[in-house]
Amino acid sequence: MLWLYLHFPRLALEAGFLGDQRPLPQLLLQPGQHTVLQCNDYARDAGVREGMNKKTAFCLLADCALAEYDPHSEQQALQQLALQCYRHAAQISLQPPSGLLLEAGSMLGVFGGLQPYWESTRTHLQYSGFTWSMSCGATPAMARLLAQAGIELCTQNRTIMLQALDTLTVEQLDLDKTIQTKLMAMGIQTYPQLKALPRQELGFRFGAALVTQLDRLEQDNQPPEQFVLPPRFQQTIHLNYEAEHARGLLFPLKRMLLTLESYLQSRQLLCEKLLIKLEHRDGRASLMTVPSVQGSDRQSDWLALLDTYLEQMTLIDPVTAVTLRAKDFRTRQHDSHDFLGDRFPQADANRMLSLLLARLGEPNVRKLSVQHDPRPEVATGLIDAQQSRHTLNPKHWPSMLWPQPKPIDIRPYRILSGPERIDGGWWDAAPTRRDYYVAERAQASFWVFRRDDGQWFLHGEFL
Amino acid sequence: MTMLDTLTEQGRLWSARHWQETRIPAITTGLPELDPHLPGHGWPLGAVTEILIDQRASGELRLLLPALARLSTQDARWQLWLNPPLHPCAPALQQWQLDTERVLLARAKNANDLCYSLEKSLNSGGCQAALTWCEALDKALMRRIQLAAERARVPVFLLRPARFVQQPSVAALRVHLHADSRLDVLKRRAGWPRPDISLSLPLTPEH
Repeated sequence: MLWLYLHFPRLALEAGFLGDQRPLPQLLLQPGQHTVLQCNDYARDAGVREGMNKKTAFCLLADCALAEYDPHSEQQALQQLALQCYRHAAQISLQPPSGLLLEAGSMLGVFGGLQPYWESTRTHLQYSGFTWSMSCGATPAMARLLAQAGIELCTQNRTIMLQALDTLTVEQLDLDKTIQTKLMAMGIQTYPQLKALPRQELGFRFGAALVTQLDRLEQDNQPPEQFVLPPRFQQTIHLNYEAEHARGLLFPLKRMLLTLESYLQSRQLLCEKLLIKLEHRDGRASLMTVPSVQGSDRQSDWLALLDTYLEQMTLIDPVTAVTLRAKDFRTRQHDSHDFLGDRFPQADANRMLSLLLARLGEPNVRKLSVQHDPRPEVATGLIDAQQSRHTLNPKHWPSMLWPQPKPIDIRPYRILSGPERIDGGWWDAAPTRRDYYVAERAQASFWVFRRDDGQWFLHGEFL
Repeated sequence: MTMLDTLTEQGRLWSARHWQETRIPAITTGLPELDPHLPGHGWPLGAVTEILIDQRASGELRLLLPALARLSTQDARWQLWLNPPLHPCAPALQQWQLDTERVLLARAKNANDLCYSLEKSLNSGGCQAALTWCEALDKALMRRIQLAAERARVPVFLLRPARFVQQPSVAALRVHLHADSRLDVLKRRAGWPRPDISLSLPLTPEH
């Protein structure tokens, strides 16, 4: 069996600053303690190191962004990463606090070898926004220790793996702190030294736990607990700055949509609606619903729609956190395509409708509906663009009607033809009896009618 | 290929003797008296056609309905009607053989929304034709619409009042429809202006 371990050394830091794209040094502090837990490259360039006293760090930095360690958001980030890697492993398991273990052996056939698999995983994670190191190993523990030590092995050769393991020091073995100190005090500094000691003696002196740990390092293939896809999708990003413009939310949303894309593709579903909750500085929250007519699983589709929504939106107050929830899942169906099979008219038409609805609003995008009724104003109507009610009722009427018949003086009009009597509606509340004429005025053509009492109305125009 | 060849092929350059041979993708207008005067023998595909009218109800839609009706039965994409001045009467359109299921009516409040909707619709690939009633449009917006139409390879019609006749326009084809069913071709690709074409535009279809 072959395992691939992904180690995210700055998971908590990067999860805390996920919505932040300012080029600033970032520090992650442990609440109640004085040391820097994690820091980004800008901070490292200025000389800050993990474990440094925070006051020393502040002296080194002119400006920096701070966040407190939050185990919950770290866990959430790990889950999102597991979602993103879901398609890269037959089995995936969370290794809290900051690692993912992928069973790679059975995937090699799909990807055509270890090297392509490795590259594909690498490109996939490139846009995740997280720093990582990864390594193969013959056992889960081996892969983990190598990845944590930053030794990136892309090999199936056990001898090379064992050689790499031999370069590790006792500190890199992830042992219990007290045992580690005792071993170092005894002059045992490296893994080969430790390995050479008789196991029985070690067990006697340091307890059975150490022996098991060492045994499992080289000979273990116990599958760890498997990660299962959650039934619903939800992700929150806390912004470390206050977003004052709606367009500024696009960046954190883009990140979340990428995870959503992996989630939907892993479950082979399409999503028809996104719910976005914006938490404001003053404690209020706004909700946004973004529907897509045909449903989509692609980040690019959703991004185009969201862009349209955000462009028109004014924030009631600066935003401090964004939550994305996906609703209304649908199984994927095959799109019907045209004769050559290279275009998808129905899908394109649906996308176009989604875009127009997003920009102009639902009341401003309508479709025509037809009913069998002699009265023109009842026979034609407007319906919601997503509905379909197809009836045929062709008539020799003008192509455009006034919303309401308009009372007119008939004198300037010249009657061309008529009358056509339209009589109906005695079955409901609006009985109508009218004599329609085609009339001309200043060379434009109109449709006018006379009511029983002699009053003339303008009803339509022959455009 | 030289630039001359390229330009000739695209119909941007033409020689006076062979103008009718220049190939311009188009769909027939359905009006036999108009087709011979238009490059490609019909309404151009992938270009903006501007129709200027003296007043409303002088036949501007009847000029287009035969072509729009034919397009509407071709595929399942939308025919976008932006900002129609009155309510379209569906039974009448059906009499013209237009598939009313294809018509998507939209109302845009300002020129920006209008241009955005038109551009996005054309770029989405879900639009078979666009028909827009509009007034003033600045040059940049017009240019964007023209580019989107070229990419989408569908006809785009702008219906505007005749007072914009003197304003320069990037539309590939400009015609002026008079109230007495006379039509002037003000601008066309691969040809000189051609005034005074008499058309017969019946109030309702003759069949």
